[in-house]
Amino acid sequence: MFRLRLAVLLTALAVVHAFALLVKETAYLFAGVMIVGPALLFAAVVLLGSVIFTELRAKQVL
Amino acid sequence: MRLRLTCLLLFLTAGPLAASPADFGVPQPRGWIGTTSQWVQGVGLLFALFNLVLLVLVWRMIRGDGVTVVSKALLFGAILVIPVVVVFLATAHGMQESMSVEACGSCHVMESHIADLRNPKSDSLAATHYKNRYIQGDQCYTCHSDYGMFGTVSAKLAGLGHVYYNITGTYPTPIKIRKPYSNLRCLSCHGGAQNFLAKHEKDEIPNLMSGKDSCLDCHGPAHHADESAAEPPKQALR
Repeated sequence: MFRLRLAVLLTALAVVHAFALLVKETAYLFAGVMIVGPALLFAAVVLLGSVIFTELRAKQVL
Repeated sequence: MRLRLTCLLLFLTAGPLAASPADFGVPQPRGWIGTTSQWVQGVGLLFALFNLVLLVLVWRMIRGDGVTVVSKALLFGAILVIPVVVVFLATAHGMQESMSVEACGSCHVMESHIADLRNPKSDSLAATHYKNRYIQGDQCYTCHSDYGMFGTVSAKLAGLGHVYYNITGTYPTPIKIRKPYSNLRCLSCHGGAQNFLAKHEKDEIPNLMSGKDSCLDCHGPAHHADESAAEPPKQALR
């Protein structure tokens, strides 16, 4: 469950960053969302994928 | 609690949509419902709030003994689908807003350029375009980006570089334009205009098109900027 919680945290970080940019646009926030946002989401998706993969392996589906 | 949350949501989303309609003192047309960028901002804020609520719900649903079917569906939405929409809308909004004069002027090094641009007494090319509204908005971006999709991409990449140099304070002083200013940026607007064709000899135009002569040779300077203000400050970040 640690990986799931980490995925949720990473997603929340990306969304909060995007939220801040939507409220107040600055060059730094924009550069941050463009670079860090997708990286955080990608990491979260990888973590979620690894949890799904582990679960499917445990159920012998894969 | 629900009422407060609803009020907060309405305030956050309606704020940008109801942004002042009269930035230039001109009343907006009847039935004005905001610009595309303002709608992107409002919808993006709604999605972001919705996503955060979902993430909190999912966080509570995750137990040590596994996740339920419902929480799996929520996880899918909260981590895979909605954040992509939120980041996309935030990026689209950022892209649009980063073209504004305010965005260019947010770096200390550009303050004197912006002051000259907005100075009605200045006779620089930038100020002349600004005060006469030859360009209606995003004046810095319009003149300093090439046309077409690749012009936009190139300008955004250059902008990322500017952010880096401003954060680290490593830009050279006095600041200079990266490469000679392309006449094509001027000619994209002025090229076919009757007053341009009337005031320029026919044999001048090929030289302007090829870049052999610069528009700024006769119509400059582009800016009257105070170069002493371009020194890298200790507090580069604001």
